[in-house]
Amino acid sequence: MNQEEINDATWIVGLLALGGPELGGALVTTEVADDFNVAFGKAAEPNGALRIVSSTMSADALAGSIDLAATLALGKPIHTEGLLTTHPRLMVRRAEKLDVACSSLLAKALDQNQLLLIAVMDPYDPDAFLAEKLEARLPFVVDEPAELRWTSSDIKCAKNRIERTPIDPKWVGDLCSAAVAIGISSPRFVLQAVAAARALAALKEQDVDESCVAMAARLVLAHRAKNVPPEEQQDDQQQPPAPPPQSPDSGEAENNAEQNPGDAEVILEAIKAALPSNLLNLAADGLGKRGAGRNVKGSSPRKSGGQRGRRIGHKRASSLAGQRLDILATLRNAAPWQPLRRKFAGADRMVVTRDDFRVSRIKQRNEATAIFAVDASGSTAFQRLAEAKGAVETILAECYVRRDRVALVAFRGKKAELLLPPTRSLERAKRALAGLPGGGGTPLASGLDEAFIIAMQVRRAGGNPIVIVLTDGKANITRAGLGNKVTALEETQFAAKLFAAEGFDSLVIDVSSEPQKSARALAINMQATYLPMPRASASDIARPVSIALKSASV
Amino acid sequence: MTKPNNKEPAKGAVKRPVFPFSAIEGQQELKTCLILTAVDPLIGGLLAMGDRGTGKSTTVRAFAALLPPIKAVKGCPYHCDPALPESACDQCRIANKLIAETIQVPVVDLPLGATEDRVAGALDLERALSRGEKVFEPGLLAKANRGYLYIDEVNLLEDHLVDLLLDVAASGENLFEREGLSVRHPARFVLIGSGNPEEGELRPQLLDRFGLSVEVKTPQDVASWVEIVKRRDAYERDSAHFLEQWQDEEQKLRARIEAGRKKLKDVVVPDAVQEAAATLCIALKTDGLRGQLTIIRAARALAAFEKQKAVTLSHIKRMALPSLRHRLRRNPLEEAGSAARIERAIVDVLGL
Repeated sequence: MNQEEINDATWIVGLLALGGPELGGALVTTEVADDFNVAFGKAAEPNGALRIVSSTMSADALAGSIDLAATLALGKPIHTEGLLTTHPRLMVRRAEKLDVACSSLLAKALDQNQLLLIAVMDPYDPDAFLAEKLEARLPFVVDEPAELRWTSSDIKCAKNRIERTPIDPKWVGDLCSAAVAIGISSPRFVLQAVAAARALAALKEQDVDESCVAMAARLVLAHRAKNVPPEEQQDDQQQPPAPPPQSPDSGEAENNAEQNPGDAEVILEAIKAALPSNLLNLAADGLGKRGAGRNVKGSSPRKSGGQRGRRIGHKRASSLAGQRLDILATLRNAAPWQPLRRKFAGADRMVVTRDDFRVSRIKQRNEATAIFAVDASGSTAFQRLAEAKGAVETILAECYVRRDRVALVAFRGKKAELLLPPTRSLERAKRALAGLPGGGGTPLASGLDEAFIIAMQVRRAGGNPIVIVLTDGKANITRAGLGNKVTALEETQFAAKLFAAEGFDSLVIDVSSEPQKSARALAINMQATYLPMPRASASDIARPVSIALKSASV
Repeated sequence: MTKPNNKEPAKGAVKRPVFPFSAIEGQQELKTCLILTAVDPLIGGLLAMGDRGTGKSTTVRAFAALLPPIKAVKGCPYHCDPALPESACDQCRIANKLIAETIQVPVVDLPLGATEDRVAGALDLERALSRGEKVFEPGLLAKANRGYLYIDEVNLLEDHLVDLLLDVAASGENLFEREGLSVRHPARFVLIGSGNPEEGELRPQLLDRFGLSVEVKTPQDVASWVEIVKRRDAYERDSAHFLEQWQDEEQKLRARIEAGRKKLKDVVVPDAVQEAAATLCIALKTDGLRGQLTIIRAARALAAFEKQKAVTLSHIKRMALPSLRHRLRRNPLEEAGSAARIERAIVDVLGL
């Protein structure tokens, strides 16, 4: 069959069916997940098909645990094996919902080359981020349907070949240079590309050549180039990943490969071909929003009605689903009935029935998240922006000590912007705040809207949001970004009342030089506490906020 | 009767041989500090913070495989040292005859989602329910006794687990008082934590508990990347051959660590050096005496590892950063890094 016509997704199916170190899995978009599954099943038969699981599974389901019902029935310990042992090829739907414990287990299994993981995600959900430690371990992204190309015998042949398919060290060097040039953050991804290049050669039944290396770079490295991890910023090159300096000539990658073999250029060209033309813009956006969100989302261990925390007692449980059995209480309950039950059951052992089950009641600390909406407009806040920053910094330091989280929304000019999604990282908060410029109009309604969205997200995740608005209340830009004071005021009132309706704890800090009616009105609409800043220093502002935070996180 | 019960959950999969420690490219500071915790476990743990994908986990796991094996009481869930009955668990202490066996130094992973039961131990559920017996099932702390407890993403660890770890790390034993059980067992381990500072801060109390702290960075030059990838590729392709190639290096390093351990008690710390370390700590206003203790211990371990008879100012200089970096009382919002402050103090105080 003509291999030129095979699309990327199909190649990836082949590569993953072949498997091996570093080729641990792929991120697959929801629409093409079924195609992928079918194609993979054909390539990996007879027994390698993917097991589809939900991301809401518990860590026990992955790692295995004791089967309580069976243990009770038989009177001896019965273990159930976890999915990681029974089905080392998993397809996880809505993978962004995986909790921290599951992600850790999966990441470890991937490291040990004991798992093939296909993470299925909705590409249109802006809130969906895969846990970073998993994302880094999945070399490929699949967003087109895979075809039924590979049969299990193809794969078997390739498997036999791969041992005898070395990669020329020259290519390793070129891949590294190319990776550094497009701002790839870790040598790990080069390792993945090297493994992919060798596997490709094995599939093509040839030696590793330019075409394999270029394609591996395209499949593994290209999509990383546009998602620069934010930590890159710390380094000397503070710029978003510069695409290779030459003018982009996409489309010609494969042809060029033939002309100047053995050059890192070839690889760069291949990567460039796969990149969208507006890479720089994408990368800049990514640094502010997507990249940052990815970090936080991936690491937040939030789960409402959780099973972790301190034990405060026990209660009767009709079902044990996901809850922790309080053994002592269970046994205590079962004890008085033993003589009777033994007689009826004819058993010479302890008889425990479902009715005896008691589960622990867990008290979880309800985490507070301080959401700052900072007015950075030119109107009044400009002169006081430094003081506002000082106040926010003081509160941040306080949050840091108490392990609260903070988020930062700024509004100026035409729109509001989420500078920092909820995080516990002081470093990022500092950076976001330091980089906040001032000037422009006051799109207060947009700022409130943005803060409201974050507050809702925090609440949905089981946290306790507190909204702190630093403004003079003089809205003059509408949601649409137009200068119209009347409409702007109406919209602001409406936005403010939403906070009151939801009952969010909020504070309005008036940052103008004289207390303003407009800010007070805003506070009334939000049913917020009103604090004029003129007479207050940064630490005076911080105190009421930290009191509010303390009461919110008990 | 409360008898420890030691059983392993069945592990189906075969483990890959670990990447050799000496073959890890770069990460010099991390590697040196790990070695020092093996030369003198009293240094008290190591914290490695850095970007993702910098090879923190790989390095720590590789180090575990490098460590020289130890002698332990056969069948004891806490692998007590047969030569040191005073630090052994209750069972081993009263036993008439202890059978020794040689084991690898235990390195235990503490997974992020672990429950308190799993970490501290719990009433053995199966025995309790099926036979009504009260038996303690040791947790990860028991497993880590005399070895290493490794926590990846330590900065995301839940607070109540952090509290538990702090207690145990400080006292060297795990006191279990729950579910009608009262058990105490030795739990002396070297705590190794790693994490990405971008994802959250570590509580100051836990920070101070780590003896040494290292910042891990991705190498910035293409040449290092090429070397990393080449070695890794060679290892993936034919791990047996690769291990063989590095065996000598590993063996040498292992021997040096053992030699260092033996030499440690003979290394002299001159008064002048003690004084210089103290002056340094005072100049930097580190909290408490732990910084001073650590810097001396680390410098002594370094001297022992380098086969020298006495600690010199240069040892102090080299150990100042990892010993003190995380102990400076800091304004959380200050921009200047601790590293810069320490280097300045070294110049001012030690004149080096």
